Amino acid sequence: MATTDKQRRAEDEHEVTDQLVANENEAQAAGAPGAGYLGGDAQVKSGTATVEAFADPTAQTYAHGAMMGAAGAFMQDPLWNQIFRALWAEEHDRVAALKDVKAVMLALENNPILAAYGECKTLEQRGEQPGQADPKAQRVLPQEWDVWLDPKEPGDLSKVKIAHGNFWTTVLQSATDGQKDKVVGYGRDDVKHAKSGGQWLELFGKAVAMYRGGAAPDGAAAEGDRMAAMQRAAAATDAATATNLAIDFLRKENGGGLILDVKSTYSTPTDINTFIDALQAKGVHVMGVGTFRHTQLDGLEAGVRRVKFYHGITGVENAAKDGSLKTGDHLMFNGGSLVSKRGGWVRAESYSVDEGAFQSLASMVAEHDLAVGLYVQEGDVDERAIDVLVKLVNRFPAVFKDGFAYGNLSGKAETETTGTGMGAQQQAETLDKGKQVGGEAKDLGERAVEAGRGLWDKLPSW
Amino acid sequence: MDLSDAEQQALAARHQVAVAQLRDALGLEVARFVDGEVVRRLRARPHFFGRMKPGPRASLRRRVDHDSAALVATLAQPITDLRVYYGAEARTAAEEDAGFTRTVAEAAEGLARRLLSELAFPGDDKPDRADVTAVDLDATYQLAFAPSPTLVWAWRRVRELDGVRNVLVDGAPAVGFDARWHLPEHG
Repeated sequence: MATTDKQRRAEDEHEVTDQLVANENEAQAAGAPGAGYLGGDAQVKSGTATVEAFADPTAQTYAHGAMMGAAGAFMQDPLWNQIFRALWAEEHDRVAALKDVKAVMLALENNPILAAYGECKTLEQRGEQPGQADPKAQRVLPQEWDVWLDPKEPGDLSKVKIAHGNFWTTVLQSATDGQKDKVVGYGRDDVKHAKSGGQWLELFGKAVAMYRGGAAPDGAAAEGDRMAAMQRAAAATDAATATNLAIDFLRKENGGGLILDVKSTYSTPTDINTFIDALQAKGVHVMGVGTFRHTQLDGLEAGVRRVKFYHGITGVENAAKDGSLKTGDHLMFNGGSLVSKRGGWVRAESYSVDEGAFQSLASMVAEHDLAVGLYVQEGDVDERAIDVLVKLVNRFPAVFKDGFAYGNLSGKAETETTGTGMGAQQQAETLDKGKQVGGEAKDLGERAVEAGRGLWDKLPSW
Repeated sequence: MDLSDAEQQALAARHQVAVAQLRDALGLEVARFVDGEVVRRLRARPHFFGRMKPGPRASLRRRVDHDSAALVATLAQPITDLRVYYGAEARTAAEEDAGFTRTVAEAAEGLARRLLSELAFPGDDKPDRADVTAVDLDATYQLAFAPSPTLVWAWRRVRELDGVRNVLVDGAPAVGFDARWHLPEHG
């Protein structure tokens, strides 16, 4: 949510070109025939700033949350509004009514049409023409799926759910092992009603097909022609064709792939392997599997990166101390835990990388030969914090071998969000700090369930 | 020109000694340079050093020794390749010394720069402030490795022995100062 300080800065400091262009496009769309259908009705307040871009494109490991950080720009893009509404009207109308960009990001996390938008825009950044969207002409960006596997048929793409899960789902996900099967997974409506993996691929593919189809008409009477062309493209793209098109964006030879964030903590390594096999059989490059429950990584098949998730640098430090960090581990944590925010109210806000935290990380990487990647909560991060983190990753590729899974276009950041990027994960980080000073008593998951909403409010949107 | 077994063994033994001395000199030189660059800055930055926690401090101390030794090990191949290249080229000693110095300097400066930056040393143009705890993401360090006379001597000795061996392997007569000095057993 925009702060007073944020609003003041937006007036005098930030590049607002992208916003103006978006508004202009919106106005043009509004004046065109059938403007009511042509998008432009999104209520979200959003802006885009130019920030440091990734020096090495592969350092942007994957699009976190299906490019959730670009959700505001996506909703303000008239063309993509049309595509979204044409393919998933109910969801479009629900999201279009939201004004707060963070709420929009959370609503669109894992959304396949947003993911398609992110891929198409990334390809254009990398040299393709608007509307080309060819995954073979330029290197695509790997994607992330938050997955809830079917307990009985974990390899069935039509049954796996692609969803982060809402607050209570996430809290209950941290329940003790004995309770877990009773409280998480399909019993939660937010998971039950999420798109399946198969549906995700189909929607993604259809969105790309519509985008390609809408690119041809240009100039006079373009808007009406564009919508008709996009509808023809969608109609001509059956489920199998759309799925195959989506899979082209997930192939290794095109630079693509999937990171699976396993939300279903009841899933065994065998379940996960079954799911990996099903994806690989379709040609999907499964780059890695990440989870906060690290025992799920034991026994994963070779060639798939095993990624231990942590909330912040303190959790990593604790793991190094208790011996659970192993030589050569791949791990990811919230980069906001490396960032300090100063100022506000009287002085201007500024963001910087904390010297002590970074020294600690660099030392652990050297001692344990770690492969470290970062992520942030895109809904809780200031564009200046993103700028600092990308500079950090660019400057220290040997420390951040697994890059930064930034959920927005390289070199772009949302201006209407604020913070270091930690968001509610700061509370988990604080609990981890408590362990360092001897406050260790219970497993984090147990604490979460006991503490409930007061402690873990809006928690871990990772 | 044919060498007797005894002459070959004598030359090989001297070659081994020279290479070992070069390796030892290199080890000392790299460690002295890296340690010197780190320690000089730590002494000049009491606020910065005072803030460094025991874990990173211990890691830095260990890496100065360990990474320097590891660097010398990785330099073995490039230096061997350099000797092969110069063996096939007609270059002056000064040119060979410059090539050797550049190879070692790039590696040693690279290691020092990596340690300084990964341990978040502020750039050399920044003051040591108690109130600034942000990583200097634009930090630059002035580093200039210069080999000691001892290291250059060790390198030259290896190259002289390389030259004597190459001449003899090629069947040429072993004449000149180097041959007479390094292989006195021969004629």
